[in-house]
Amino acid sequence: MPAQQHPDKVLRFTKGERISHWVHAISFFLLLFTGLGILSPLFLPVENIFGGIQVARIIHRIVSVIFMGVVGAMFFIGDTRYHWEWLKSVFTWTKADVQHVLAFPKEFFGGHGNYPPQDKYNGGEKINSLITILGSVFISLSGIIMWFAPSFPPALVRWAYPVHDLSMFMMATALLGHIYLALLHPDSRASLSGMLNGFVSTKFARSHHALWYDRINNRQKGM
Amino acid sequence: MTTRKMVLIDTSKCTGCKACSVACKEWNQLPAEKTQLVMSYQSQKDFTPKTWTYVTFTEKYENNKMNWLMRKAQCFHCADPACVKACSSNAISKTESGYSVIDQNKCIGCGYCEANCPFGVPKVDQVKKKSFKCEGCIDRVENNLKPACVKTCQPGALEFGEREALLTKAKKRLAEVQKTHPKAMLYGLNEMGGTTYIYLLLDRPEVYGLPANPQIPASLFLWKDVIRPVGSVAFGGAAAAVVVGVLANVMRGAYRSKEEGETGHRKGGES
Amino acid sequence: MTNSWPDLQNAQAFLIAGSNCAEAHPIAMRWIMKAKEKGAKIIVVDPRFTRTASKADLFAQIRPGTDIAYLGAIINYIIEKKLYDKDYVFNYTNALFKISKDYKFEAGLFSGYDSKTKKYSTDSLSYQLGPDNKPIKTESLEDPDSVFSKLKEHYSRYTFETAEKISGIPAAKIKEIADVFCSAKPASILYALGMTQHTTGVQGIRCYAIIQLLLGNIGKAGGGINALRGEPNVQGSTDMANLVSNLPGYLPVPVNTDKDLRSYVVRNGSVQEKPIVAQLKAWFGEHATKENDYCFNYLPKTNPAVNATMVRVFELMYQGQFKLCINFGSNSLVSIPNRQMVRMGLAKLDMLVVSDVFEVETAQFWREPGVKPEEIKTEVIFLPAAFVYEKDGSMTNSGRWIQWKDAAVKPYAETKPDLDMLDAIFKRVRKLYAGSTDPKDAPILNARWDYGEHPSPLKVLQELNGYDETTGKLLPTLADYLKAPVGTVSTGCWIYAGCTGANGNLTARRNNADPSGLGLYKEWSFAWPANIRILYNRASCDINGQPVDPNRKLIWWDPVKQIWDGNDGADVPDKTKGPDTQDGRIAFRMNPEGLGRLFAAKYTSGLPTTPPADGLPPIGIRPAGLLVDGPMPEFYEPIESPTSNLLHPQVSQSPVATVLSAIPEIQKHGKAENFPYVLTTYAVVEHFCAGGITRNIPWLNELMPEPFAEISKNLANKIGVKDGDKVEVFSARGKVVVRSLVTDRIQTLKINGKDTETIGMPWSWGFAGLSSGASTNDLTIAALDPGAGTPEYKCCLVNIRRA
Repeated sequence: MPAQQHPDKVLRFTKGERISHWVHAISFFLLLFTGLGILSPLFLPVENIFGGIQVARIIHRIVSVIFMGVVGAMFFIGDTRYHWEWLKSVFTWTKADVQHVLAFPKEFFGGHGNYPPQDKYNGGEKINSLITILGSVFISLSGIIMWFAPSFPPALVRWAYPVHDLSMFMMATALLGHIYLALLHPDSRASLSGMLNGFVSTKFARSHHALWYDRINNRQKGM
Repeated sequence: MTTRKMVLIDTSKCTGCKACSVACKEWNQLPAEKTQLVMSYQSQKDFTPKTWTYVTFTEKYENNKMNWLMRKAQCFHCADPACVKACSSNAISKTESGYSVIDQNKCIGCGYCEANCPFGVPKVDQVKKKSFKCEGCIDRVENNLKPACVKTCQPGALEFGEREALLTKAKKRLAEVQKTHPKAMLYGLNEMGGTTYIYLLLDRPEVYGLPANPQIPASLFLWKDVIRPVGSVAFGGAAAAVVVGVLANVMRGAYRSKEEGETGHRKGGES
Repeated sequence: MTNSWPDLQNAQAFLIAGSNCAEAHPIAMRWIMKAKEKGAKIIVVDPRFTRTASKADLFAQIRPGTDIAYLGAIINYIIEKKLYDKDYVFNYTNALFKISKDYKFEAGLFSGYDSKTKKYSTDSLSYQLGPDNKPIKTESLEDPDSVFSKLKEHYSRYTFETAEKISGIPAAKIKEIADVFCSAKPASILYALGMTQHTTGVQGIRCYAIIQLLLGNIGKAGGGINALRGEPNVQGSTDMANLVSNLPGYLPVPVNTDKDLRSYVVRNGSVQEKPIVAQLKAWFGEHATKENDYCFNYLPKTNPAVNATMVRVFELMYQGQFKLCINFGSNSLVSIPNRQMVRMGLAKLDMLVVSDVFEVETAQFWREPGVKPEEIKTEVIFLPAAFVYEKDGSMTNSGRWIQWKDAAVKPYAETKPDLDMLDAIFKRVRKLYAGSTDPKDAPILNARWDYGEHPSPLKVLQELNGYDETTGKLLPTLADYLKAPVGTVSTGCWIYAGCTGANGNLTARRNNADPSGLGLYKEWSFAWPANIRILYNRASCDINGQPVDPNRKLIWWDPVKQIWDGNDGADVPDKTKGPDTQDGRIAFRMNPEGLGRLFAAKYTSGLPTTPPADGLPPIGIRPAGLLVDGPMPEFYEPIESPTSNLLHPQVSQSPVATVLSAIPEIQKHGKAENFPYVLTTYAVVEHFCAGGITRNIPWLNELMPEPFAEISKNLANKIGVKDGDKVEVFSARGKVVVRSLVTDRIQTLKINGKDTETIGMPWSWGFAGLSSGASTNDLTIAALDPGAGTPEYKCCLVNIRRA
């Protein structure tokens, strides 16, 4: 990627990655809100935004197809390399990742934790990714079972409900932290631009993801 | 004070005439459905949103003796019903008299009751988006009438009454029936906390297609009693953490020194 | 029924054979299960394990049409083991009467058989008479001439082993049936069409009469022979003469030799004079006078040689006998055996009028698939009828309870009650004849027919009840009718007398008090005759008039009040005549002997010993009802049978059975080589008879959506079908395609050493209605019981293959 077009910035997320992220994010929000009414009748009024619970249930199903289909497809069409790299990296854990995770709570509340330089995804991001990946897989599988319940053994259908809810809770909980860090955390919110236009400042990259920054810099130099 | 009611289904007296099915459809104004014989003289495979009761026919031929077992199937109205627990909309409730009833105004047709009932009783009408099942003719019962099926039953296979009195009678009848059918049993006595519709079966429940040991599914406990509360707490905790984080940052004045923060030598955050 | 529905709860044992009451009479099960709860044993004998059998303590699968074989064995067992009720047999049956020396039974034939006419002369089937023209009675059952000895001899051939070879029921099981049934007192026998629909139907029921008389079960609470009648009012329709040989109240129909009232009375006994005159008075009122023979000649006379029973009518129709057929509430095109005959017969009519609730198959015979409407010249008129709940009137149930009901709703749209339709037709016809002086038109012009401008069903019932014609007042009781001089009273149906008399409309009573606890419900509606709930209940007492069963006291002689008193009305000739009188000992007053008839002998009571001085034929009091096929039941194979008669192969089938054969191209018979399997037909609880109403009720169609053929697993394997596969069942007369129902409820039987398969098919479907399907009566045979004319629906030969 031609990082030199913006001398003070580095490309953090390609267009493909950003599409995946935002499709996932928006569909997840829609799924969450259209599903709330079935979580508890307390949330039923929310569904009036969509035109009532029955419309919400239809939207939930339509969006679920986008949720599963579009993000899934991005691994196979277009710019697939970075998707697979991401997937590979979140399942590859280093000592630095663990140290980051240990320092994370302090960091979260605005303190300063000590941890070694991080790669493109730090330990916290990897946890968030893992929750997202596993949550998406399980919420999708259980959702399919619930949608086509008559085609599955009753016992499997019964287990799909807790799995669906558990996945939802995990993802929603992680999402809260994710939003906080992306929008409200004084230090990390600088990364938001990476997901908006693809680029983060060189300074941010250097300070937060030194290993990654050094690697892409070296690669460019080598070229 | 409403007392707990009971219906005894004495299969030793059922002649399989299916009049209960018609009485049910008539009282509840349910339309007929297209059927084909399923097996033996059984015409309905399963409950549907429009079929709340039907008769099962099981032919068991052993030692040159035929046992033609007939059982009127309907909602058991469990003391501890899985459907009530599973319902997403607080639409299903238990009455003091022992009935599980669906409030159609609240029901959204999610089907959680259908999937979790150990007997597969409630069925969702996919057009109306509502779940339907035997309501025990609660409208009749509350007005001192017998349920329609009981009212129409001629051989005396169905009996309605106060739970305590009828249970005593059922146990007496069981002792009588066991003389000729040693495997006979009362089903629903303890199952699901003691059901409102109790069977006198002539054979083991599995022979009738009933679960030997019906229970609220473990998945339903995990779902409603573990995942839901723990998930809610976790989500709430995360929300609280975010609030604390924001407050902490505000108090530290971190938002004002944003530039500083970004330029300062920090090792990382997370996004 | 000799007894009633609620009385079934008093039984200690049931032999349900020839009835599938759980399916055809589901409400019977209410009372049967009550009895069972109190310990009664239920025995079911049926070609299939039915829903009734599912509630039985003892079930035996029988080859269709072989009931007399195992029942004969039971009679033999009762006699050999002396299980009979000796006092009862002595006092209340004709066991001690001496039979004519000319009586014989040899090689399957009773004496008096004429092989040309295929009829019995009954002269030798009679008693030895004394100089007083009364039967000679012996002192001992052992007397070789006694009825009892004849019975013993006749059934000595029926061993359990022989019965097993014929019927397929294991000998041990027949013995078990006999032991269970004979050791229970009282014990009840239930039958319906499974017993009657044979060429030996009447004789099968005679077996029941013999068994119940021997065991002393007739006239007792919880006993009796209980014919479970078809629809809610089929008893009423029989009371009103739906049988070809009856007028209302079971009066014999006049025949072509009855030139006048006197010859009618000569033929039928003086006992029939009052009822026929009362009936003529009811129909023709003041026009019926002593001088004009009470208009006896207004009555149509039948030719007994034709014996135009229901099935025969369609053969006659095919032969061009009729121009017009009015068909009310019958779906003959589905219900008549070998129903092609019906379709061909209807097409010969100028006009067919069908009245029904729905447009049944019969009403649209011209558009049955395969029929060319353009070739049919019959004009068809359909009269939409009001449904049962849309009309007032009475219905008479099997227990002879005449039950009044009011319409629940008004008739739908333009539908009308049957009475309204018939009334309108009659009045229009009478108008057309107005002013005619032709004698043949007199019956129409002189008919009383005064049911009102808008016809009132209550007025019809009142006519049946009868009037004192001198005062115009309703008869209060049967006794008032009985004691009135001939010609001074009218009743449309004498057995109904008192049902709605001066004491009000008793048929509308709905008091379900049951003080005796015997289920008599004496103040619920009205039972004919004279509100007697259990017929022949004199036999429930010993000869001295005291109840034999202390737990089930029906009636007793009260020596203080000098009257027959009791929980039930006493079925005695005169309530004031005690057991020390001749009348006070009579338990069966409708028989000329006053006794139960183990042997149905020819006999007329009260014949004068010297001929009348005027030279006219003598008049007796009461002739015995005679059977055209012998005085005692004998086993004969069905007309189409897979085997030959083990007892007398040279006379395998009933020698007197009526086998219709005027249309040889469709009235074909099959042989076992080509049609090896026995078909039996029946109804299922979800549909009623020909399904004209029930197949138009979606809820019922849902419960029994289609016809089927029930076959054993062995047969299914043999022809290679699985449960639910389509099969073609075909007989010499037709074929149908239905789904198979492979079941263990039918087993392969061993008949005389050979495996024999039974195929069971419900017959309630036709091509019309909301649920249509193949009509099983395409297969059945139009062979009739010689006396009753009932067709042999229950057995014919078929073959089956995968369709």
